[in-house]
Amino acid sequence: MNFKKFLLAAGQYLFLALFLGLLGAILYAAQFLRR
Amino acid sequence: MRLPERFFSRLLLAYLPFMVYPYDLFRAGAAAVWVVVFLWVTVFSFWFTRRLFPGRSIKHAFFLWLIVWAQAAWTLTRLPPHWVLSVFFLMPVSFLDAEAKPGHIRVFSREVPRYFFERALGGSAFVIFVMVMVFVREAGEKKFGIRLFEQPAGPLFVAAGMAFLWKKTHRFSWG
Repeated sequence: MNFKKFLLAAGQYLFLALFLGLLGAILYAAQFLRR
Repeated sequence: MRLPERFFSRLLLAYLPFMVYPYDLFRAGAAAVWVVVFLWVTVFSFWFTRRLFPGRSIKHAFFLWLIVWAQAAWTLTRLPPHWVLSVFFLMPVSFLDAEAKPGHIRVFSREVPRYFFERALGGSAFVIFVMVMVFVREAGEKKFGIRLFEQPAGPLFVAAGMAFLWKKTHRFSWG
């Protein structure tokens, strides 16, 4: 596989992982901030 | 499921959850403003990050985003979780379609401000629409004591009238 393509795909999946992490953080923060 | 393409139809769909909220004018307005601000943030962030998602995962990411925010806003503000339905119905039709290729539109082209201007206009129209509907319902129910406005029939009747007027005046091709 082309190394550049591999890097691109890896970056995309990293971004997806960060995105899911952000969603988890939002849920956690909402629980935490609840009065 | 295919969403209707006419802007007014989607405005009406997005208004439906507001019919079951027991809100007064102020709280309904605040909920509508929150819905629209969230819509703008969502459209803006997904427009600029859609190429960063791998393959077709953007649709799943989008729905997860909606669900997570629906839950988070419910936890924080006690807004009913189906507020997110309004956001979903207000989304531009071709949003996240496979055919819509964002790569063909440059980030700093003239298309982008026009696109966001239309979204801003549509969002403002939604807030005004909700306020008018809630105002009419409250006035009809409390001031004039019309029984019809205690049921969904009243607001639906008003919405039908507005749809008629909308058709009579002009046809925009928003969204």
